[in-house]
Amino acid sequence: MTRLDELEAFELAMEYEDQPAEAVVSWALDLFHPRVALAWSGQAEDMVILDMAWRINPDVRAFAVDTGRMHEETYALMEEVRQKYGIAIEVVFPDRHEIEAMVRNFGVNLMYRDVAYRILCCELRKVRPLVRALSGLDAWFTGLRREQWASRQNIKKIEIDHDHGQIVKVNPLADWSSEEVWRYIRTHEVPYNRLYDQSYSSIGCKPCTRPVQPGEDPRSGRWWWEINAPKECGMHCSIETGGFEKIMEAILKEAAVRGEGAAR
Amino acid sequence: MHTPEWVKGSESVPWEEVLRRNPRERMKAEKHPVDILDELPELIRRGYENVPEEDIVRLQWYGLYHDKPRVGYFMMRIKLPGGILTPAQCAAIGELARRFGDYAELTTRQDIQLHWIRLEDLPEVFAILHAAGLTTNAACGDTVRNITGCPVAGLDRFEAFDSTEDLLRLAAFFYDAAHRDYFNLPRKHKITISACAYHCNYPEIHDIAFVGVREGAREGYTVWIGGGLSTNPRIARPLGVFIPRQQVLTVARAILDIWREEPANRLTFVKARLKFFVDRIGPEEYRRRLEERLGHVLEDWPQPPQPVRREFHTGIHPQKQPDRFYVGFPVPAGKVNGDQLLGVARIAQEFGLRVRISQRQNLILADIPRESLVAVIVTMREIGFPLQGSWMRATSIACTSDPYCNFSLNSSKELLVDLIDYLESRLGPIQDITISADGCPHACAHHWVGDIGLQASYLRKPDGSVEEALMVILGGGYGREAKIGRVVAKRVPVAEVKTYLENLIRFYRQSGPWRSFHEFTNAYSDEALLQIMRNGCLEEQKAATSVPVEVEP
Repeated sequence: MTRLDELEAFELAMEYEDQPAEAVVSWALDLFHPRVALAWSGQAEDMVILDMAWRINPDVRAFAVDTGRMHEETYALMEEVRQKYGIAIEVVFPDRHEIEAMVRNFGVNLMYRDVAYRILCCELRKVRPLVRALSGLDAWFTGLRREQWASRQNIKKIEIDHDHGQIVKVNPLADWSSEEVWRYIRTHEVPYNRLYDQSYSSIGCKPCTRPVQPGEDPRSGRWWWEINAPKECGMHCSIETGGFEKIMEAILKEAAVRGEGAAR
Repeated sequence: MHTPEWVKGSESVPWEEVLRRNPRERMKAEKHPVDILDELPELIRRGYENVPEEDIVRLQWYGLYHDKPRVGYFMMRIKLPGGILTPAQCAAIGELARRFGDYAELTTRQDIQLHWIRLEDLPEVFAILHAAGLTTNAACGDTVRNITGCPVAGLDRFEAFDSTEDLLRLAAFFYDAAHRDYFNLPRKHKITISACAYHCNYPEIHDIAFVGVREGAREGYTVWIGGGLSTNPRIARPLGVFIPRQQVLTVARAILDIWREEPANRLTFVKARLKFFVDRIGPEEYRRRLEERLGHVLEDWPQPPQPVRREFHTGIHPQKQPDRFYVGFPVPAGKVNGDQLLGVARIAQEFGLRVRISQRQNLILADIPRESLVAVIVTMREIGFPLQGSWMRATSIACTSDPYCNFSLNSSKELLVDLIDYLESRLGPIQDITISADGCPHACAHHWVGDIGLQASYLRKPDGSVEEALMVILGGGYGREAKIGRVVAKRVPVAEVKTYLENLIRFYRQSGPWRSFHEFTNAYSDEALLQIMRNGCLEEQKAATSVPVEVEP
């Protein structure tokens, strides 16, 4: 089991700060494979990292959380990945008992009721399976980028992930712009999620995302109906930042929904 | 966007490259954050939900951060240069604290922080602060943060000289939003200045430290640069120069100019702090550039001064002014409420005292006449600041943390108080160890250099539930013992940490004599320290003293 010390990890982060994404990916694969995987949710960034990693090591691992509410286009892309790269994305599912209890108690579309219900839904459908997937890893790749959100500018390319048991979190595209992501996709003919062609700016669950017209606030592509919701980026889901989990703890602490929702 | 005229760097990084790579620089180039105040009425009209995140970030320049979970409440940081505030200012902050959640924090950089403030409250709060002569300018953001110093400058008998005037000159310049160039630094910037005999202001962990020295009748400073903690801790590096007191502002500006005009320092937000620049070019080259810019050679000061010992100005001390005393009152984890601040203001007014905030998150009352000492101490006890208590209780610090800070994983303030209660219930008063409790890697409470550094972490269970855990950092030190600590234990549940530290301190006491806890933790390997924490002794001792197990007949 390879674990980095806090000091080592952040000094490495500074060393790799000036190096291209490929070097970061290559470092992580050398050190951690097969105990490193890409958290794949069908975003453009995920496809860039997957392509990049595959060129370095075709055995690269990727996992996806199938929340049960995803778009067909995302499943189609998953299949394309299998065809083109020969990579079987490891799909993890939520606990059926938890979801059954939640749906029985609050209905299948509870997310539209109130922020606390939506966050409960995120927790059971997405966060818990994610945590389970990460618990078997020493490191993971995310597609987080600094420009996605003005409060996210201190993301480092290599971090210790205190939200997930101090494994290493690798963010190779931290300093990439959206243009660079799409240029890479075009140049290397990387398959991408067709939802982007329908003006989606963010890929997530079907009930919670929608297309964003040019000029519209990208945040309106996610959870647009919510009032008094935590201010969030709305692009790449903040679950990967750990920020989501901190917000979740704060909101669910106030709300009574947690125990009932997850009751077995 | 064209290259700004102040860009004069030598490392030939094109400005377009800076803007392309660093969204923080794009944000500042699009609209200078100091101008956000003009738009405040419009932001309030639109409402928090509809304010772009860039503008929320720009509000950092006036001391505001989202509180957790980002639903419209802000933290506000009020800067107190050198930790100095008048009784009237203390009362003004007390009134605000009472109104907003009845809570405030004394910080490790001599600020006071309020919470529970909404966008629409800001015009009135700013007006109250300005009327009291207080500011939040450049309290957060890529600016010169609060300028810290010894909280008993001008009072302590052993200081080299009173540096207050120089500190206030720096503050007056760098807090003035008209000096826009210094409100657009590559990253935050922390300056400290004092002539404290104990270096109580930790010059070793600042971007720039003016360390007061005296040579005969000449008063001045030697200068250290590039210290800082967070995820990449660095002990400051001496420039080896002496500057007369009058030159402090000129030199501070020149050091900042060398850094801020170099576009290479702005390529990426995460590597923009001065410490990384000093890593890259070294203190000798920095000195050369500084002299070039000043147009004259600086006097040598080859030997970095050392503090005489560790002292954080807690307890009762005679002042240099005859028959006057200052008293450092412990404020556990820096937590206060509105009535307490109002009470302090009232006592200070009644007895004609000065009020100061120390970097150990404590309150200091000064100019107490001998005959009023008892009355002041008794009255402070009545409002919740008893002088009794151990040195550990008085000097340990904790960051802002839960429920307010968006980065934190625990409530380090509650943890700290609870931990000290536990340790002292088991071991009696602890007089020579200070704890630094942090909720995240940013190290606001200095976990890298406290005797015992704690950083929050999580243990996640398979069912998704979370158990609070801690990283234990040992071997760090301030002052004469300045050193970055080592991560000795990585993920220890809080309950176990209590036992770990109890074992460690007990072993330290029994194995002595040691000059300090720092000497003790540096005498053992990580492995040995872990054994001591887990078992209360070293494996070899355990083997030597263990009784053979009797086999049942």
